[in-house]
Amino acid sequence: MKVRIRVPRYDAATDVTQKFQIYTVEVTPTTTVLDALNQIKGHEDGTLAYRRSCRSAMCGSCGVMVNGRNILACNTRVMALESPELSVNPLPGFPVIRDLVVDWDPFFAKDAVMLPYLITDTAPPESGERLQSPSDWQRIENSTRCIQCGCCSSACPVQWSNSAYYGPAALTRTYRFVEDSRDTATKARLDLVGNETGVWRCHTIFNCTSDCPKGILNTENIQTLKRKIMLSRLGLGRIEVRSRVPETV
Amino acid sequence: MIQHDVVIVGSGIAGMRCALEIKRQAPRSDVALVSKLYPLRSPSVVERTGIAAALGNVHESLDGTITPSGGQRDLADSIEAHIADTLSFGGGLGNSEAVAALCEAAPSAIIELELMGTPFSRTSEGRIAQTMGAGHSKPRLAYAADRTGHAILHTLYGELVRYGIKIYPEQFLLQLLVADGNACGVAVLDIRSGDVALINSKITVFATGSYGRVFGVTSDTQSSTGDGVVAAARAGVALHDLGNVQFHPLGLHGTGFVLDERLLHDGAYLLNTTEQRFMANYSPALGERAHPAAVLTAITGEIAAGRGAGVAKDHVWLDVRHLPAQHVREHVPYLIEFAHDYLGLNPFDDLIPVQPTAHHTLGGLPTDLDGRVAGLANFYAVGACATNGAHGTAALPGNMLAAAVVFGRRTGGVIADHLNAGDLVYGDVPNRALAQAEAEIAQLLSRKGDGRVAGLREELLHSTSHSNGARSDAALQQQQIGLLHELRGRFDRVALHDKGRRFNTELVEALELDRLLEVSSAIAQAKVGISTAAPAFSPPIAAPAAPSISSAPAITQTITAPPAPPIS
Repeated sequence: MKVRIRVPRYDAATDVTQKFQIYTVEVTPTTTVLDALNQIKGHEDGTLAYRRSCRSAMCGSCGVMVNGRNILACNTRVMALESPELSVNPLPGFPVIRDLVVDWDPFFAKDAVMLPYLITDTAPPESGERLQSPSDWQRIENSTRCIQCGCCSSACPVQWSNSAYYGPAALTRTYRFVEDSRDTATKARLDLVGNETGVWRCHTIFNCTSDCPKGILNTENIQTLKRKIMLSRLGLGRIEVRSRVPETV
Repeated sequence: MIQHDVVIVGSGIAGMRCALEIKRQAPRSDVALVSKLYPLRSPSVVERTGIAAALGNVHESLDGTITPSGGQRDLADSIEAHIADTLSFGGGLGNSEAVAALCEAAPSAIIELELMGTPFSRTSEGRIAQTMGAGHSKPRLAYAADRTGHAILHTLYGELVRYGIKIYPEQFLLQLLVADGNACGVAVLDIRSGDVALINSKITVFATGSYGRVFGVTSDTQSSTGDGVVAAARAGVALHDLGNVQFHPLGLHGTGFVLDERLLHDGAYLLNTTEQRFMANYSPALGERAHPAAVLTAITGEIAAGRGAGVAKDHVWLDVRHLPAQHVREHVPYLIEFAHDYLGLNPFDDLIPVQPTAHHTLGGLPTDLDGRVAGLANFYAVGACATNGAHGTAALPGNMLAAAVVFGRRTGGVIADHLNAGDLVYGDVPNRALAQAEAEIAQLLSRKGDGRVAGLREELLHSTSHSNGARSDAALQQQQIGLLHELRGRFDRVALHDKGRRFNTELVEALELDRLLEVSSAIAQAKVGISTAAPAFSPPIAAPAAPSISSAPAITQTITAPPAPPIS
């Protein structure tokens, strides 16, 4: 089957606007969007720029917007999209460097602000690991699936209009540590995101949840953070809010 | 020119663990990490099943159920058992000293990862959960759901952020800089700007990963192109045992992604084109539960005998339809994900096509146990690009990850000691280094010709999909050498469409193809016993248990190794 693929061509250093280019690619039932891009780059137009690495939806390199939805190019079969035409675009809301390549520096800078490491004031056990119950582990299972591909933050309309907003990826990172039974910096973390560039900028649009390729409940995580912040301001301390965990597949 | 005390090339688990240890033990040191990718994109993320260490958190009862070991952790597992399993799985060719160093340090290294916050799955006692793996006599694989490598990498990345370690993302390694027998830094291409830069350092560490991309069917990522191995070879380091490549019997057809062998242990069937089970013909006693090397031989045999399935007769079927769905969902969830996402299949209704896939590349830069690369001062290597003999001819499941953490930490400690002693100086970068590195880029960009990178790469991968794989024999390898010679000639006529500098990924692919061709030639020549160059030094660690096997086809040895007892 032949599929038409439309890609914007743009170099931030020289171009003022995008130009669109249409390629026709022969696909089989197992051709992924990444395979199709590789076919274009390899045999039709070597100048097309995009990122890729692991091919198995674990590294987060190949997030793109296809027909209006943010996806990973590597684990999406073209035929599963059920469309004879694909409009493949760079992740919206991120600065474009070239063609489908976006600038990740602001995205990772926000992640670094979230103190993305375990902070604890309890001494480690004399021997062996810290203990964590399976149910406590279950509370971070969903959020630790994150591969930092950016599909969520890029799908967020708030992020489009306000680039200072931390965005769902960074806030889920905070949630991951707030919910971790081993982490004791809950107050510092909630203070970090309890402001107008943090959770209060979220308008519960749910794009970040629906476009996450790993099934992470980003919006729900942000809502949980909001509740925790409110409850702690009311002097109710750390409130246990159990997250809803969906099936993996 | 940029200067750092230590420059580490590669941002996978080994490189990050090394950087972290240096910073922990020598807090005032200036460490920089240089990577072809953003650090969280590193190939370590595809290691899904687990990391091996004799923690003894669980024990397996006779009926195969795994329960917490309570206060009897010493009885549940032992370092000695881990060592024995590692040596046995490696065909008896592992270096016993390196194996012992790995297995002894693995438990503390994994406990440390937990203390850093790695989200390991848990036993009902709250300890790190462990499970069975092929070749293990005890349940020893510590895991974080079905994404262990990803969980560890993200945790280590957080530590790098905590310590403020400088990271240079999207830098392609062009050259290792050497002056007077000293490594003194690297030359890199900044992919984003297209500029060539030199980074001068007192100590240079390569953590550049595997070269699995030379194979047509591989579990490796598109980035695993052996850039570091080739850069070191061009700087005069004699490579060790490149032909030592571990093939995995269960690669998902069309992608090469590895499916866990535990499926076979748990009762999955292997079927040929007529949907007949064939393992009994190869291993009557154990059937599908045979040693992974025997399963590899059997699948290769079926395909070679024309009983492979599909139009190309290049795969067999994995049948899990009769297994309890809950069991598969719990233990190998990514089978369901892979089958659905890449093939549009449901493993509970459909047969899953599988074929042998190149899994771990075990050759590379020869090092001692501290990561020092022989023959070049102030040069270290850790992770998949390094070889110290800890794996023999096949890495026990979970040992590659364990080695990355254990030897990354150990090498970092050794480097920190040097830095604390304060006896290191910046080596003089050769005057012509920048011009030389720049020349490679300028030459590729200015070439005229009719060849295309992708066409040539596809020919290379087509040739290696069988000849370097499980069906290797001398005649095929001779033919391969001829073909590689021809491809190398045609590479010089490859022209790029993209003549620009900024984010020129076609240029990066051309550089990668150049490295792939180099590694492929070295592998093919090693397999037919042609010594490319007299080794500048003896094998890394002189131990009687580690004979150099570079002159013999390593994979054959893996296959002919006596089948070890099955799991459990």
